[in-house]
Amino acid sequence: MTKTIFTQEFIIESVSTANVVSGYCTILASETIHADGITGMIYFEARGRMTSQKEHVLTIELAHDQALHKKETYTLPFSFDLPADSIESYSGKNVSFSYSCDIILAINENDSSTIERSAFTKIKAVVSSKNEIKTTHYFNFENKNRPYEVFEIKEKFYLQTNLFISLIFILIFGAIYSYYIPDFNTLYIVLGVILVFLLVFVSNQFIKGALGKVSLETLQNDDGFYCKIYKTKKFNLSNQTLYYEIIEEVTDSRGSSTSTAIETIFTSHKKPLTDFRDTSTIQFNYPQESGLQSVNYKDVSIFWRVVLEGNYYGNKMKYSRKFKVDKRNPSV
Amino acid sequence: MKTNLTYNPFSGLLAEDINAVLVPRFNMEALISKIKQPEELLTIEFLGKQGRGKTTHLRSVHQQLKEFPIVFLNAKSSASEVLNHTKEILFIDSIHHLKIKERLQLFKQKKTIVYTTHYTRKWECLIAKKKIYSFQFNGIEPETLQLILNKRLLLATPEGLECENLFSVKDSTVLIKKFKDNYRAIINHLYETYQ
Repeated sequence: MTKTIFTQEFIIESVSTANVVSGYCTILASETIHADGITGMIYFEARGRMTSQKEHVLTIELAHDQALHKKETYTLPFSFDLPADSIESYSGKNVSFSYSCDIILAINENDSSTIERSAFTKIKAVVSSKNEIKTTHYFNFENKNRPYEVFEIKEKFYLQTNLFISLIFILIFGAIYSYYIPDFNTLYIVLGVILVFLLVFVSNQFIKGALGKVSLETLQNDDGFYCKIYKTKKFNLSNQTLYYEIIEEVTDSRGSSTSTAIETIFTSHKKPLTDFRDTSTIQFNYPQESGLQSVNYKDVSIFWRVVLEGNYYGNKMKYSRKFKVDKRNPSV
Repeated sequence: MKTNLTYNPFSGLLAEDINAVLVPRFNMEALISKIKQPEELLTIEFLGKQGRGKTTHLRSVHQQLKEFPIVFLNAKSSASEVLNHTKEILFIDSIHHLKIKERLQLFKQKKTIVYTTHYTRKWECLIAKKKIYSFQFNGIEPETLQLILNKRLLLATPEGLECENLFSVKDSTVLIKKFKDNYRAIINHLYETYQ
């Protein structure tokens, strides 16, 4: 008896602003066969340097009671609506988001013995006891029709720990230690580390107090967004610049220890803050690349932050504030 | 990422893919039958340093005994997460996050516990009057590593395509020379190469 071999394709043609994904699936059988049903199971996958995740999103019916005639190509169109909060496909440094579709072909019981179990695909096709054949197709979901949209906030900036000051304290501690206690002593080392942390914290608090508050307000704009900076009179840094960056943060909790990988995936142009008295407003454009909006999913976070940089008595100080950016809602 | 692969083959494994890439260090069938029909109260420990495959083996065994709970402990976990389970068989990753008193209570309470640990818990099992089977996770053979890496590559290869650039024993020997038996360090290194 000649065994039936299948060939299959899964094509995404378009994604509309309302997250409607449309495309078609083609199927070709080498022998005539009857399919009780052809179903597509859509999954979202997050894979990376972490515990990977796979979540069922929805199920689509491609065909029901379908006779597949010998060497005839069947084109099965489909259209499905992904949830509004669906994460777009993304390939970063330590994580990737993608979508997969399992095409499940339910063979009529009378034809099940005629299926070639190894030739549908060399690796992954599964012929289950339920007379089902499953193949997996990967596809990208990118909604380029929906532009970015900043969430409007008004929040204060946070002063980032100054590495130079930390280094100074470490060097001072190292010099005192090597002069007075030349031998290795765990207790003194631990006490020294605690002292350095304490001094860095105190110096940070002192600088914060000396400079006063500085706040950020984000405002929507057609092609980009505005950052409005508010400062007190005593806040006075030289060579102030403002920019934003997009950070990818992946926590790897596999096994018995946890580690976090932080990567900057986008940095905007640095814009100088000139004639900055009480407030200053800077406009930024969004990145050209799609799929970089804020994401918080299991062990993965993609976030945006504005950075205010300037010099304070020769030390580069960095203030930052996280803000959220999503894709514009199609109904607006 | 390499264009002929559907995803990075060295990313974290999905639960459903574990058994497809695992090269067991011991007879899984025998272990599973022992867990299912324990002749006596027992604990099974997967012992070794981090990144040696203990959790992967634990998840693999659990895949075949899904009716029993698996708990992944971390520094923030509480003992109630494991003690409140009513099932007689329990899988626990990183049992060292429990205090010794909690571990003793757990060993006395449950019939069978399968867990991962950095240090052996044989004295605690002795106090709890539990028989212990310990599986050591150290060392890796170039042939085994080659098999694991190639299984991962094959799994990420699109259907119908031939898998290119398979790893040779020479490749895996070079990796072992650089990373020793730290399997996770090898996988993380390859993840960067393929991303």
